[in-house]
Amino acid sequence: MEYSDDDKDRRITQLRKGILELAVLGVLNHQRHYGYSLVRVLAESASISLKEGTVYPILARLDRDGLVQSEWVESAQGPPRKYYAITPAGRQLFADLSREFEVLAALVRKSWSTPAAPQGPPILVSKEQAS
Amino acid sequence: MNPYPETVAKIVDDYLWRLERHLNSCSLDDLARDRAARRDLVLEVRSHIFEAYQAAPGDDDVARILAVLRKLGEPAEVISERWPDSMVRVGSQRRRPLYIVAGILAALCGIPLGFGGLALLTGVLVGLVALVAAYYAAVAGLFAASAALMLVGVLRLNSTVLMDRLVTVGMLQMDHDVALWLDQLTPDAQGYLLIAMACGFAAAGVAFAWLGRYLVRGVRVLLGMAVQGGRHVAARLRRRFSGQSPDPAPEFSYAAR
Repeated sequence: MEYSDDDKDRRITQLRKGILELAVLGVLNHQRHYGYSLVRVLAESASISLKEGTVYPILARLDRDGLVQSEWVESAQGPPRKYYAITPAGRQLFADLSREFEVLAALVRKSWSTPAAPQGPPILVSKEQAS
Repeated sequence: MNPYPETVAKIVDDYLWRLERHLNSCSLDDLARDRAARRDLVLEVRSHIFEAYQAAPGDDDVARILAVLRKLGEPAEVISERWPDSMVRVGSQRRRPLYIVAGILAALCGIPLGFGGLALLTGVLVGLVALVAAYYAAVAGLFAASAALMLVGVLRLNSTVLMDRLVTVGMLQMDHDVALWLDQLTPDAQGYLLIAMACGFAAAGVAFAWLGRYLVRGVRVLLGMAVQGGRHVAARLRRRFSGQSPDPAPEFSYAAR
């Protein structure tokens, strides 16, 4: 059965979406950001290709759950920016999720060796051998 | 002041308008908080578009803004989840079964509602309201029974003669077998038994009243959905009969706000 490029893209998108929340927490763990600057960091530093708008519902959810806190700050260049900073609860969650992520990543990276052939007499033998 | 050239401003307005429409169909939770969150998201995306547009290379303004919006994703992608799924998710997370029912109903009937779906949902909502009314009537009955038992129990403890007299004249009546059984007890024991039963009824009433808040929340959500759906349908009909487009473009500028 063929594995199409569309199928591959869909699965890659799902995988990225799954870890995006962790990536957002990771970026905010270092420094506070507003939406656009966060997207830039994710897109450039971490080379994550994503639809930029998908970050905002994640930020809203983290804000609602008390994992980040936000404030509007006036900008001299244009519209006000909403800055996000990670909270102590967010830091704790990030530490926990990072550990879990490392375990999973190690599991994926592990080079699985071919299982050794079972020792002992063969189970199936020919009639000649048996006699 | 509008920071964009006219054509670009129209494209940005259209995008933000579509985003707001998608958000309006995602009204899930506490109305005030939800409204503030929706407004914040639109303002954030507006800010994002502005910054991305300023940083976008090239001389063609339209090409620049289209590239920005392409990277940002369609409004539906920004919202990322259709609201029936969100309802089910929220219902599961917060253990509100009626959210889940509402999500499933919405998925089955199709919302925005057609007239058939509207009629079905109205019937369900009326039924739910009646259920809530019956539920609280039963709770009130428990409290009334508790109060009556408490009164009779205290009366039995304090004035045995008065209680007997009330029974004799028929103001207090009880089942014959129960009366025979009670007669085997002392008047004090009868009084304490009645007070204990009163406490049991009161406790049951409090427990049912406490559980009832989940019922009320669920019904409130469904009513809110029905009102919102009805408003959308009414607005669309009004525009259609007045000869306007059912989904008119915004008359104000998001980009200039």
